[in-house]
Amino acid sequence: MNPIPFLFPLFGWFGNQARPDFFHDRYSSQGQISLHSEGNFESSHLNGWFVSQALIGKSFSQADMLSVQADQQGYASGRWETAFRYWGLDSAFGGGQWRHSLGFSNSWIGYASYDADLFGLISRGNAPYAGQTLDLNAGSGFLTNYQTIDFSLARAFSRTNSTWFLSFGLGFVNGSFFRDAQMQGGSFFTHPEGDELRLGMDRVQLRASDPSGSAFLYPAGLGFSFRGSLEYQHKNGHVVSFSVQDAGLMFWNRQAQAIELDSELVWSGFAVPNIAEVGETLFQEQLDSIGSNLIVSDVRRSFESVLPVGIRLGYGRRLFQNKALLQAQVHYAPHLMPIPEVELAFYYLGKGRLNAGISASGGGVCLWKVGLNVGVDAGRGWAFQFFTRNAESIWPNAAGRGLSAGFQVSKRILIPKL
Amino acid sequence: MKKHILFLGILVGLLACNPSETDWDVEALAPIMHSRMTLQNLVGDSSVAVDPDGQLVLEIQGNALPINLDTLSAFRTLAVNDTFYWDYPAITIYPGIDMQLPPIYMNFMVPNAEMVEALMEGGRIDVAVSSSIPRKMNFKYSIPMARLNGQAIGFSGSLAAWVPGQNPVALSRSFDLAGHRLDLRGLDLKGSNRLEILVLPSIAAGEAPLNVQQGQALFTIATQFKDMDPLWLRGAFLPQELSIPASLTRIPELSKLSADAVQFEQARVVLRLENTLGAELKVRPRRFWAERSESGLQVDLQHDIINKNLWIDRAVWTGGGAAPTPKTYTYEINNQNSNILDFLSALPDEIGVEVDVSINPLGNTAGFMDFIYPDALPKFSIDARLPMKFSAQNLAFTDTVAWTLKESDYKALNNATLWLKGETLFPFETRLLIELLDANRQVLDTLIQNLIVPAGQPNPNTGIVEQAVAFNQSIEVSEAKLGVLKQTAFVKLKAFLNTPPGTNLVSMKSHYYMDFRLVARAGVNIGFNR
Repeated sequence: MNPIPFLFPLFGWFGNQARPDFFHDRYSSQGQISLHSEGNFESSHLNGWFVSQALIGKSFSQADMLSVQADQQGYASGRWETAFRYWGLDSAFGGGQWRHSLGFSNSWIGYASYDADLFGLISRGNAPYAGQTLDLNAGSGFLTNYQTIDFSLARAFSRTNSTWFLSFGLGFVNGSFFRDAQMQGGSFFTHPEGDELRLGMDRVQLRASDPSGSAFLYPAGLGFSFRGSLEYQHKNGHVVSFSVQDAGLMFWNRQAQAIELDSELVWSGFAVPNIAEVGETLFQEQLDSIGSNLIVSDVRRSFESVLPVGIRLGYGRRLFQNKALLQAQVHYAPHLMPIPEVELAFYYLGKGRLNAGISASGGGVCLWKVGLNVGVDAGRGWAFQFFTRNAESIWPNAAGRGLSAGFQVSKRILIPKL
Repeated sequence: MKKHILFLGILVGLLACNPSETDWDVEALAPIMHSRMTLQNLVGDSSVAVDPDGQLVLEIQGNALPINLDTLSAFRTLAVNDTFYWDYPAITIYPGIDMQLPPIYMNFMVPNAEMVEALMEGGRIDVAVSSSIPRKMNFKYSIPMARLNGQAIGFSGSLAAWVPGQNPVALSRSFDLAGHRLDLRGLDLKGSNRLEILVLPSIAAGEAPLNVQQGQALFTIATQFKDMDPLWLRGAFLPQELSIPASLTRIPELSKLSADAVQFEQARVVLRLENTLGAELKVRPRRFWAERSESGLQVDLQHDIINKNLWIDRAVWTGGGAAPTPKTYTYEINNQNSNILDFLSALPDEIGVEVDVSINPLGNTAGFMDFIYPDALPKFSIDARLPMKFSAQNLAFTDTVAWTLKESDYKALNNATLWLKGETLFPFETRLLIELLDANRQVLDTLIQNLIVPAGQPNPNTGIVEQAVAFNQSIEVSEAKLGVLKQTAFVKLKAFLNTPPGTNLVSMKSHYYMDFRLVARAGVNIGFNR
């Protein structure tokens, strides 16, 4: 069997993680280095145009914000990852059947689940809700940044009619930034003429990593991660795969902060006992008082958080003398999406050195989306892939719900066998 | 190689890449502040009393003119350095023989007074003795007329032999004067304003006799009286005219008020002359005037006491540590015997006094029993009682406060509409003006101009406002106005009160108030910044 070389972008979503380029058997005497980068943002109701404008720093008008309101519980997730990886042959385990990998990656990952009214309140202000009591459902969200150095091993086990591929790796994780909010529920009332605001909060928990720093490689916490994959390929073209990514824990250091809020606040403006003696301290004292009434506990302490683990189960079928692959897979990352995501993809190796693919998926954060990828083998060991998981956003005003773009550059290199 | 460098460059660039910040506009509606304004908090709670019928009364108290006597300041400090020379022909002095030195006189330069006794509450005496005699010397130092429980201040000590060519050998002592009684008549009990110091040196036993030449320096005795704080001084004040400069006393209660015209119904001012001095006073008020410091407007008081000699008897003193009982004379000034209504209608923030004061104009009639208690000096004070029943045109309350908001605090605001709403029982219309001032207190713009809060309507039968009147006024704050706020360093609040034209005087009752609330609806720009 001669594996098709362009399958690599098929797994672009986690190709930067632990998976080796198994299909490059013809280059088995060579290692590979690659640079992979992908940005992705998806939402249950923010369209691709909105997200793209946000990413370039647009100032949105009230009309813009009105156009992106949610009518039910909203979800949003975002990811920005850049990874550098080296794959080499390893004779120390099984006489050259094993490959080893060393990788370094930087990840920004965020997710939010929020009440539609809360989104409206934040995106439009409270004035449009004057005279209403908004009952806010439970919500949560986090944003984190961490860097991973991992070491992985992979091997192919060939049988008469099939081949098993196994890979697994452990990573050391440095956490630079973490913000996390959980709310059980709440309410917000705006008096019809603005005379009074009432905020009810039912157990709001806020957690933050060391607030004194958040720069790249800032040591706010340490952790570990595990990744692994198992794939079965039958010579008649059937492919079944299962993988786990980013399973692990982070331990944020003692400078981290955890705040719990649980209160009902009625705000009717600053109380000025004597208009002839208005002082700055008067306002500050009242603001301090509000803060202290809301906060149930405010402590600096270490805490742990889980990494946003993701699992995939896929089935594929090779077609056209291995020049094409049709694949269906289910992906679920419980910390990044409310429901699992299902994807159907078709990849084709064209004439010459070009390859292309298209996918359609539904579920996850947004209702549906279309993915595209193109790649080229540039020769002399160089290969380039460009892909998006949200091609529907290319068209203005499309009903797309996300925005993503990524690329991978890889170079096969000659390395001495260990 | 270049490709690898490019590869690494892309890697570093992607690792450091962060999305740009974005922002969006929202419409916020929120209460800003609320307050209750009363006349009490405009002029100060402690200055407003309430009559049994609920009538508010403005009460003003002030020391119009404290009298300071230079008698005291002259007594505070005194220092004498006395160096003793041998003024006689050469002689040999033998050990153990006391040298008879003349007393050192400490003369307090107290003008126009002959003080004979003082009881000290505090103070200190520092003594330094230095010797230029090449023999070990013994000293006895004493101030016999400064006593505590019959014991005079003094000490004995020894000084080592002076070595020629070196600095004189020295000895120092300090004495706390608290509780000491000073007899300022001197050792002969006939003088005043003085104390004497006795020094008795001798060559220590066992030392060689000393040959002393005429004119030879022997000792230096330095004595310093410091921080003298007498509980009282007794003696005789010589007849004297005190030079008292014109005095202006601030009335902070009225400093925030001004008016085009204001007329009160009645007023009562009590001028109190309080003599705590053990001496007769003759007081001649030459001028009392009300002054608005901002405009320079002055209104002179017209009353019988002006340019009249007022004879004030001396305070009564039983001696010892007990404070004297002052002699107090009061003079009532009201709208029947003076132009006090015109005087107060100027809403003076300062009251000026020019007065001549004579002490003991008839001479020493008390036989050195005049006294002064520094903690209780004579003074003139004013108690004014002004029922708040008046008519006013543009009676203005003005206050300037620092604008402490930083630009970052409101740069997110695009525009705003403010609502001032509430209810009032004040029986006068209130016109509000808020000016924005720069750091030099020059007006940049107005934030609120002539916003009118209507007057409460009095019951025709009682003249009292019983039903509150509601108001709700909007104020547009444009983007341009918000731009001016960035240059604002001070905010000047002016409230003009106008009683209804053509009506009788309006009576201010204790239950009158204005409740108000400031609400804002604003376009706010929210930024997203991790």
